[in-house]
Amino acid sequence: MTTNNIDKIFRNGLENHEAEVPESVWQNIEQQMSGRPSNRRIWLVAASVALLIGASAVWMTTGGSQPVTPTAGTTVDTTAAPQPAAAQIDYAPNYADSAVFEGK
Amino acid sequence: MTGTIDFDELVRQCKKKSVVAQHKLYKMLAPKLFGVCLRYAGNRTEAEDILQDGFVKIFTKIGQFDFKGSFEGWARRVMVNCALSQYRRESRLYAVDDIAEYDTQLSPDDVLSVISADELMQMVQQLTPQYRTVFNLYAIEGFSHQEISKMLNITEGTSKSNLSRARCLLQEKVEAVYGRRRSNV
Repeated sequence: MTTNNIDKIFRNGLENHEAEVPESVWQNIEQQMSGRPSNRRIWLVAASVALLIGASAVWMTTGGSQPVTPTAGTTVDTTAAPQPAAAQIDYAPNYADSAVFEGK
Repeated sequence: MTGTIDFDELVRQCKKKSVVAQHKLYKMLAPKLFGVCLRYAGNRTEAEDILQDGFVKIFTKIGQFDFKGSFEGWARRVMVNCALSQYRRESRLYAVDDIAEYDTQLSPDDVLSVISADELMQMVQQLTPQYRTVFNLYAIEGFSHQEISKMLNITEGTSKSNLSRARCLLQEKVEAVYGRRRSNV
C-alpha cells in the first residue's frame, strides 16, 4: 500500500463515498433486464415509422398525380393555399387580418 | 419483521431472477456503487450510464458469484470493470514524461477537515480520463502498477508516469483550495 499523502487524502475521502442515484437509472435497468426497448429506442422507432408514412404519402400524392384524380387535386390545393395568404400578411399588414387571427 | 435482511438469501433470490429481490439489492448497493462510478466518470451522466450497465451485468452474471468473499466486493469489481470497458471504448493511454515525485506536506486529516468529499470528487473528475483511471486504480482501489498494466494493456512505466501526473495535478488543486480556506479563517 502506498504512503503518499495525496493518495491518502483521496482514498480516505472517496473510498466509501456514497451518492444519491436518480430514479431513472432503476427504470432503465428494469427495462433493459426485461428485454423491453428503452424509451429512447421507442421514440427512435416511432420517428422512423412516422418518417416512412410521411415519405410514402408524399410519394403517393406526387406519383399518383399523373392521372389527375379529384383527391390529388384537392390535397395540392389545400397545401398550396396558406403560402400566398402568409405572403399577403407580410406585404400588407392590416387590422382586419390580425383580428381574424386573434379571433381564432 | 425485524428489519434485518439476510443478505445471502437476497442474493439467492436474485440468482432466481426475482425482480423484487433485484430491486432490494439495487436499493442497498446503488448509492455506494454510484460513488465508485462517479470517480471513474467525467460527469454524472457518464456515471449513470456506467451504473446502469454495471447493474445489468451484476444481475446477469450473479450466477457466477460463489459466496466466497463479500458480495459487495464482487459487485464493486464488476462496476470497476464496466467503467474500464467504457473507458477503453473512448480513449487510449499514453505514456507521459516522467516528472519528479514529490508529495504534499499537508496531513490528510487537516485537508479532509476543510475540503468535502464532493469537492475531492470534482477534482478527480477534472483529470483527463487516463490520469483519472490510473489514479483510481492505484490510489483508491489499491492495485499495483503490474496489475494496472495488465488491466489496461499498457506498460508499467506508462502506469507510473500517469499516476505521477495525476498526483501532481491533484496536489496543486488541493493545496490551492486548502490555502484559500486557511487564509480566510
